Amino acid sequence: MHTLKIGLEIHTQLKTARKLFSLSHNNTSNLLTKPNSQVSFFDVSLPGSQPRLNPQAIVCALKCAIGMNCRVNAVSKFDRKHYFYGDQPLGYQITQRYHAIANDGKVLLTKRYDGLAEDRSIGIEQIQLEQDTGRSLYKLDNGTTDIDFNRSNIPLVEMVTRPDFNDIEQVRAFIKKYTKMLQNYDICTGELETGAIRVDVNVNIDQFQRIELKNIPTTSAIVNAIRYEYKRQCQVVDNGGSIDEVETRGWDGKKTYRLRSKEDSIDYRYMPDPELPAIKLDLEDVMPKLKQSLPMSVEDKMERLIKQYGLKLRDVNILMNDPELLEYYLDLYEEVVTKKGLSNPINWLVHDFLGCLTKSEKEFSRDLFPIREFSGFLELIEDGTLTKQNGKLLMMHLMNNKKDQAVPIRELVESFGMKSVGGDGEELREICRKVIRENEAIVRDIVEKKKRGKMNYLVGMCMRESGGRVDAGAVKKELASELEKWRPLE
Amino acid sequence: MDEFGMGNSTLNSHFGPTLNPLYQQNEDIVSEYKQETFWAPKADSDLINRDILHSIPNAKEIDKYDEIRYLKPILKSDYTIDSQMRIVGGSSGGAAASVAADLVDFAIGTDTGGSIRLPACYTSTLGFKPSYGRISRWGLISYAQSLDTVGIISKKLDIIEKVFKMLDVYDYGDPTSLAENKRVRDEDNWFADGRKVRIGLPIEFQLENMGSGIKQRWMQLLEKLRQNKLIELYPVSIPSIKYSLPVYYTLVTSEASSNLSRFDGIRYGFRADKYTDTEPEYTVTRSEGFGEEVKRRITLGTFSLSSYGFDSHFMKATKLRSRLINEFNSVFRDRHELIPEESGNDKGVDFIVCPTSVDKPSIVSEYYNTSPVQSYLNDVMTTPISLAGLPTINIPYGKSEGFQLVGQFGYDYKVLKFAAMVSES
Repeated sequence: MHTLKIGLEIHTQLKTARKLFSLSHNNTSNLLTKPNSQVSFFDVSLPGSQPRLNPQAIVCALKCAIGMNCRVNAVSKFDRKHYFYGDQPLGYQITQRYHAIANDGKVLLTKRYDGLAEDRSIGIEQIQLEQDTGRSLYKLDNGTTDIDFNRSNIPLVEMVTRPDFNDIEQVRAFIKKYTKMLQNYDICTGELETGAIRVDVNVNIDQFQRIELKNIPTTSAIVNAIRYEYKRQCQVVDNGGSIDEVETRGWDGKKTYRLRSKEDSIDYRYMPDPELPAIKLDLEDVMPKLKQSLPMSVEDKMERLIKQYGLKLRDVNILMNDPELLEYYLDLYEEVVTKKGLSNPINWLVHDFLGCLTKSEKEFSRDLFPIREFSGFLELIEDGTLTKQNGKLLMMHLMNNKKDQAVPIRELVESFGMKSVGGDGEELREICRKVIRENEAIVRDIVEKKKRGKMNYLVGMCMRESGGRVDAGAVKKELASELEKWRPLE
Repeated sequence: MDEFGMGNSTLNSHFGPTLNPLYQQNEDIVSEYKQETFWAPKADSDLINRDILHSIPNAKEIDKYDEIRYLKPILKSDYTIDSQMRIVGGSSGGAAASVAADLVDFAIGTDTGGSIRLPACYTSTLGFKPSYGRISRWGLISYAQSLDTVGIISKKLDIIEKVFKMLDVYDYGDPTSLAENKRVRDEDNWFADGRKVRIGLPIEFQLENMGSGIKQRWMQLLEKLRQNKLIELYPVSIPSIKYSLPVYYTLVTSEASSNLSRFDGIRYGFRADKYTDTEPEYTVTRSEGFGEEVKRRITLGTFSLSSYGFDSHFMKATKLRSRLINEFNSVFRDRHELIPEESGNDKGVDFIVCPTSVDKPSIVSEYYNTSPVQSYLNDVMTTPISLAGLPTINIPYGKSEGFQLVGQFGYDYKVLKFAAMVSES
């Protein structure tokens, strides 16, 4: 068994109105934007054009530094990283190498909030501001490349973690936690799929050299690539080999493959930018104000849901994934629990309501089932008018027949004949007796061969017989008492 | 432009060499002047943002264009430059020559390490390099932008002052533009009655290899200044001046190698159109497109920035530059406008005076045979002042001879005002 060590380098596009060093609009996230339509002189590096720093990008980077618990530097500077590439019009990228905006952060991945087996602290080495490049569009038919400069000069934050991960689940949890933080503080859209977040991974085993994995599109691909790479490296070492050189590898969906090795690595000739002034911050003034302007942190929000609302981590995660759904839940809770004193609607919301949405192929919207209607519906469940079984059917119906939401719900239940059969009523007894009569073979198995498991079959038959209007618990009880009395006919 | 403002001869320009108007050229190097015509949109027409046309506009729009004619000199294929012709200096040699030949009243140029002052000196004109950041660089192609400074050449000081006043404004578009509150304007008590103006003479400028003619002129000037009752002369020491040539050439080539990397042939300019399998033709394009001096400097700069050269060359030069600035601050009486807390010596001098060049301009034919390193030595008097970003003006003092008057950072008007006083006497 070899020890696994992983570090991440994450590029994040900042959600600013304009680009990092020019006044063109930053709207690459809109995929319909016409290529090369959001481009100013500096974005294509026209000689004689000069960069002008967008202060909004600094604010975004600072928010990110707060989210990652970093030390913010009072003075940070820009450097040039040189390399030739078609979509890099300056011939260098303006970035921060020697004096970054923030360093030395720490993120705690926990059992409580991240569902890990044990807590793990991940060090953050650096957060730096830099420009994005243009986008190369390779044309396979004639071998040429088109370049779209809309992305050129969009502000990025590059965050580098220490190699503190020793388990793939930690990586998954970290990426999730990071994107949640970005969304919560409105720093970035948080999407990996659109390239708004790009993750590079450094993986090594034992004391061997690290391998860099680049251009992996999604979290699941990242997890698979690391898993593959771990196995590959273990195999190399187990076969008597050794990994002594830094190598960059890509991911094709099934396996990692070599992109370049140390011999053809580039000397980036980093140089302090000779014309951009240093960013000087009055930290004692800026940081408290900025912190005050931020919404509650993701973990504080989660803690509130766990403690105050008594939710399980799984449900908390579902709500945290969708701010509108979360707000809907809080309103529903207010109405149902605080005002009416009914039980927590979380299961009905997260399992049944969202389940109905999936089955009906609908997107969540609070208009689909307004709070008032939802609350009236839950009252019927709570007072036993509607069984859970029929409740689910009714919910599905209401979702797909919006006009029936206008009908008073009790009337609707009546007209569908869904009103449940009472727990000790005659009707329930009749149903049970009928089912027992018609399923003698099963009954024998249960009573004579003690196959208690077959009881569920009878319960199911009762449900069918009643059209779902009986409560499973009540049926079980009634069946049990009837079976006590049961004797074979002959 | 002399190969992107590099070099101090102005012999390698696109349209041929620039000759020094102060010297006789018997044979015309131009074979003929060809009349060229272009059409420019009239300022008040709705076409104002259109490009100029090189062929006649269509009948519908012709009224909206001005027809402009000019003469284009066609160089002889086998001209000879007179044996006694001297270089004009560079890289703003064209600007200096057109002022010297009375083609214009003033010209704008850029000065990175002496590119205004040296040709001004060689053409006996006034060449003013303001404090770094005082005139906007927006639109100027960067060579080494931690030093690049826009300046003015003219024969008349009042014209220089007038032009400077127009250009001396903060520009949001240039990140190195000096903030409005750092621009010292006129102060009446600069030369209050009775207070003597203190002039510093850096001992490090007494160079062994200074030409004997220049040395003699320099002594004459000092003698004249000494006799002036309003002036006191002091020797001052700025030890790092002796490092300024290597520091300058390290930093300038590094920045140039970086700035010129955008000229890869992909978006604009020359492209070799010789594709290779592995990359767009960057290597061929740049090898064919750049001149020898440019390539030499890119190579030097690339080395200084490489992982081998960064600490030992680039960073070392950067540190020596800071030291040089501190040393200048220690001898000036005025405070440096950007670092006032680290400057301002009550016993310091108002100005520094030193020669602009170490020798007369080279004879053109000889210059072609000088090695690049030898030619770099011509910049020894001007580069220290550029590295410190100080305001300075070349004041002519004889044919192709001049001296620099240097003031503290931000005190451009003080330099101009005193230049006027010196010129009068």
